[in-house]
Amino acid sequence: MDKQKLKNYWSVLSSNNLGMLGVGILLMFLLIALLAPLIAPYDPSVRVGGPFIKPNGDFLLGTNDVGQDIFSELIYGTRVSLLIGIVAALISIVIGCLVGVIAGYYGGKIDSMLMRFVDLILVIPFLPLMILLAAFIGPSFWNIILVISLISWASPARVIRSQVLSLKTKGYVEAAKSIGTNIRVILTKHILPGVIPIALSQFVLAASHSILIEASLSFLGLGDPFTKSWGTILYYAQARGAFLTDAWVWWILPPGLLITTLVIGFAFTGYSLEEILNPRLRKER
Amino acid sequence: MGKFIAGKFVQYAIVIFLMLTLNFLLPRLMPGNPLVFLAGEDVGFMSSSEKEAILDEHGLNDPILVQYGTYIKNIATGNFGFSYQQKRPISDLLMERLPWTLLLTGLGLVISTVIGVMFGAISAWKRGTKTDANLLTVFMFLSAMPSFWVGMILVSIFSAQLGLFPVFGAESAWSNLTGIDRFIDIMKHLALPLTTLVLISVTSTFMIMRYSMLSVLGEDYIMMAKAKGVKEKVIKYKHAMRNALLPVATVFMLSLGFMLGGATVIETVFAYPGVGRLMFESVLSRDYPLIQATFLIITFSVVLANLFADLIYPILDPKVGKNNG
Amino acid sequence: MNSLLTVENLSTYFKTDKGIAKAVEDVSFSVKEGEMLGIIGESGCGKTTVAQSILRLIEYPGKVVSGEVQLNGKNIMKLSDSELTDLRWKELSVIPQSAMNALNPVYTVGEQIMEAIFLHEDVSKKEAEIRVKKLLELVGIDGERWKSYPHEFSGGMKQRVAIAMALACNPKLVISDESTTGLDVLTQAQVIALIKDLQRKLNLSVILISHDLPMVTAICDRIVIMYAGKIVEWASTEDIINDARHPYSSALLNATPDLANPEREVISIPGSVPNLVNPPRGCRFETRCPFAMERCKTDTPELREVKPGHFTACFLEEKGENKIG
Repeated sequence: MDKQKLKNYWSVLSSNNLGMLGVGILLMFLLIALLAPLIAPYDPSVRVGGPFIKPNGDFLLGTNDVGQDIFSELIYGTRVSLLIGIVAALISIVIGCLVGVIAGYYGGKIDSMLMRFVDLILVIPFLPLMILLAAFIGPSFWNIILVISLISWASPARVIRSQVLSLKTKGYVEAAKSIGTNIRVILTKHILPGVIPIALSQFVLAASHSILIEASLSFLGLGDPFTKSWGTILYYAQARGAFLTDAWVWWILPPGLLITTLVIGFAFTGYSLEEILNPRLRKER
Repeated sequence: MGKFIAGKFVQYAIVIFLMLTLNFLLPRLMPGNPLVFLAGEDVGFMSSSEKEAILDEHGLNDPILVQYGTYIKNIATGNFGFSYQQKRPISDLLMERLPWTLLLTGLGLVISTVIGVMFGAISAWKRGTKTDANLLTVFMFLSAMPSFWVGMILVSIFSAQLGLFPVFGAESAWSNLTGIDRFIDIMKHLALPLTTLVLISVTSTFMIMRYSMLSVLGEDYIMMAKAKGVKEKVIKYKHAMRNALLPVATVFMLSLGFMLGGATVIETVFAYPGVGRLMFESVLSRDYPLIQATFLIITFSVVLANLFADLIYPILDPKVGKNNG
Repeated sequence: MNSLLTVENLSTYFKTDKGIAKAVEDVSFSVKEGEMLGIIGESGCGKTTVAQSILRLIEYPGKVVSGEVQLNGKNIMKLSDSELTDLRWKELSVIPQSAMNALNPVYTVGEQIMEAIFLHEDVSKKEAEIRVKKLLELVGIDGERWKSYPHEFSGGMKQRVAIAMALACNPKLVISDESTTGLDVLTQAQVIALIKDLQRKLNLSVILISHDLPMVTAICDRIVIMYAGKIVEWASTEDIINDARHPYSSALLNATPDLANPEREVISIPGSVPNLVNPPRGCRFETRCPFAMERCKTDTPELREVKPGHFTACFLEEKGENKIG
């Protein structure tokens, strides 16, 4: 009986149920982001009450230092965090795919040079580099995205390259090459279909990283001051010393929980995608 | 082995060169007045002769290659320039702050590696059981939490609410503690930042160790050791552990970069006077030379630590140690 | 000659996602002193599982569900862990599948052979060292190379090291589990010749597990043929070659090119090995057997002695209407 329970628990965790949970979380956040104006009771950029009001019937999570409704800030923050995560991940995956496919397909010198470069990027401490870049080009929505994707393409590039390499060893690519099929056809017909599933799982994982990085940058005051993300909310909470008062329960706890849940949602989705796509991993369990 | 190290050395030299160049170019390529990046926003209030003096001082009137040469020479001799905000030479600031960061990340790296390796191995040894599932869940959640938020929550609970630990800083100001008292004071200040750093960085080691241990346990030499009659404990610790540790050692370096990044954020939360906090302060006051210098010093530390890891790796792996070169 | 090892009604099952796989079912055979017994079958027929069951190396998700394995009068299945440790290597050792992976990469071959010696015998370091050198010489490796790491040897040499390790404590029975996997044909032949040579010299009993019928018929005294987890025939090598009674044995012989008679047509066996999770209710070969009868679908043929020392599991024998023999 106990053993059965244990087995069930394990299968929930390791099988696609995990993925379903992840997708469920993502859908929920997507819905919140889309329906923000309907869900949020106030406009988060407008002062609707006195500063530092404790949670009550009017303000579910109280108000911040300038009297804006924290709950509404969180609802609208979903849009920013989600959008930055997805767009930054998308850009880094596109770059990663390009580099990975070129390196894997052409091989030889091009490959070893590109991979050397990827290794270089992986050595650099990425957060400080992002802080440096963000400080110089200034805090704005698009700059944050730019900075994140400039650095985050490196590790997906590696993964995609190895996928291309393994696709190349399959006969049909060689065969197509040998009968003189042009590169575009080989790429679109033979390579890309094999790369896209991997790219998808890499994208989902990159999104979870991007969200964490965005939160960190915003927390360091490098976020866009006009579009408040969850990280920005925490920046202000920190700056106003909320963590030293009772306000931590409604001003600090919720944004972090939201970030964690969203990241977990992406991670669960990504890991189970990876597991479904990679039979070797599946066997390991 | 010589070849292996030499190759790595070249790679790191290129990293340093690229980062120095990036640092050199950033203020010069950015739109706007480069003076702002070198001397701070106060340039708006300066007279033109003052501006001229600063331009001359930084050699900004020289040809770009001469500027570059001067820049490299300055960095090589430890001259990182002058912080106009803090009115002090940057190298002094760095020297003051660096030990704290080294203390925090050094201890953090050791503790999180030990914990990650331990639980990763346990998880693999008990694969498919409830213990394994629970550990996986816990570590997954740890890696999903924003580092600064973990720090803030810890401060809220343990410092603000329970009063167990100091809220900020690396040691009590004006207390003139000495000897063991000072040590205890420093440790008390270190406890929460260190815990935060370990919590957020332990997952990567755990995951790698678990995966690596799982594949090692499937190897024939483990079966062979069992067939020889080697006791289970000896198999786990002598035969499996040593092999499973190899991949952990190779990512040790990657996690260091991650840690220093994490330290930047965590030092900020705890106002811990390390290089990371210095970087945050310089970002706040838009003290660009200082931002650059802190970035460089962090990059140097990572590269040095990587090199160190490469040097000790052959001791662990006889394949690298004897052949290959 | 006495039987050194007797296996009786051994069944080993594996838990899989799709249900319980009956990897080995109701297997009985014996090995005489100084005898070389071959176990042969297609991959997945349970040969290796038999070996691992005898060595008591089956682990979750696998389980030996029934059967007795007597070695020198001791029932291996009932031994306590410490008794088992005593027995391993002193009486029963193994040359594993592909020695490439059977040697731990981070220890020298000497250390690994010595580990086996120290576990089972109370000898000084000096004595052990001498023995290691002698063992290496015995398998044709320069004794001075005992301080080398596995990766410093070629594949064939590693296999020799594995043989030396198997002989470290003068065992009575050695199980060679597809020991030449991954070696080139010439090296395979050399390694097999070495095993045969040592078997004669040291009067060892050897169980040679392989899928290479010509090789097994060339060097083994008796042969066990397995199909889908069960023994279909067990007889002297001569009887297997000249008087095979089971349709599968004949099919296997026909499917193997004969160097002595190259004119003979090679006939592959149609169909595929049945699923072990839900094996056919009757004879497991029924779906591919050209002589299958109604009865074969529902009843399981027992392994019966058809003439002294020749066992087979087929209903054709019971009725005495075997037309293939």
